Amino acid sequence: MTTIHKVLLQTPLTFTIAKRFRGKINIQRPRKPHFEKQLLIDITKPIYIPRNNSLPEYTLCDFEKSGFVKKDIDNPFERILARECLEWFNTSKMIVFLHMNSISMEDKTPIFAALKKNDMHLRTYGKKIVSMATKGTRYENVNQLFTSHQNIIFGQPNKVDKMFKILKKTPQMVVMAGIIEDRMMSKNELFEFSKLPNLDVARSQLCAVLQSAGSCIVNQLNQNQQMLVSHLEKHIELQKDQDKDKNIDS
Amino acid sequence: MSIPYSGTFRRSGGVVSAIGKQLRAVNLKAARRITVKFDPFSDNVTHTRNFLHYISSPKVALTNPNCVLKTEIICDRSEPTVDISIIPSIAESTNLKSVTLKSGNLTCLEILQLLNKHISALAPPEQIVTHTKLDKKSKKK
Repeated sequence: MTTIHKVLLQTPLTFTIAKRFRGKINIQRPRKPHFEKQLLIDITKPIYIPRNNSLPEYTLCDFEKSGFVKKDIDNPFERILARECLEWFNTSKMIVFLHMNSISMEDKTPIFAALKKNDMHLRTYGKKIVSMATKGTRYENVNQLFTSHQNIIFGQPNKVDKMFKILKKTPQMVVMAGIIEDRMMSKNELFEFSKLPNLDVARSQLCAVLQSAGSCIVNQLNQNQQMLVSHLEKHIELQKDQDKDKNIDS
Repeated sequence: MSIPYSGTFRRSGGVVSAIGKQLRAVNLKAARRITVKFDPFSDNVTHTRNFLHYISSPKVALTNPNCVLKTEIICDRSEPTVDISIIPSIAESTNLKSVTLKSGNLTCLEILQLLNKHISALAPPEQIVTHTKLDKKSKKK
């Protein structure tokens, strides 16, 4: 303890410090205070707000503070999410909107995995984000669906039947509507679309239908000749049989 | 001068706690099948969808594992409905086959209140099984 006293300077008690001795005080020509003292003075200057009774009444209204008016604060993260959502909307040819009932993450994860295996993405976006993303675009009508709990599946149109197969096992996820190739479809239309065959098969069916008109005419034109030919063949066979019978008898 | 206290002694917790109270009181033992139909593009579907979300929770489903909840999406702009068919044993005694709630103009809380009034009231009372000492002894043997 005593060693500390030897190393450190002992300062005397500073409750009373002598400032001046008998001299006159200088009021009329005060000297400029030191920079730090001036800083302190400027920081601690009191701010006197005008009294309420001096202000006009319209400035005293605090309706905005009462919480009845909701202020929209611009959140940059929401803007980023809205941009991401719009990108998903634009890049995927198939968008399906699901209504979500109460489901635990434990049950949801295998569905998510099964959809992912089939190149479909199950995503959740809130009402505000989706309304921000779709405002002014052609997807504006989608906002009507976003009133309760919902999820979105983004994918390609050739996987619709697989999606229905996966979602059949989950009663908690209900398909409400979908957008395929920029066309909004109801649930029934989506279901019919899933039943349709592959595009190539549909094209071949179309070709067959177009060709059927011409081939029908050709068949009809050739019908008489073919019948004649077949009759003649039968006639020849019958004659051959008769000749054989005659030979056997003789 | 002091005025004696007037008004409520207890404050209500709001709509959310009222919904929670109704949900805790839900008993689906009398229901065989619940079908919720709605058109997703209608304006008045929010409360029906919220009701559907609450009713599909595992706690409510536990009250009757045999009750099936079915959701139907309809595309013909008709009003949302909640149709509950009652199990035959109770249907015979009360002459009620099914209860249909047209929920177009009902809030979620009102739908739950009606459900409790009509369906939970019909639920058969629980039979408390008491094990006597004789039963336990016979079981051990």
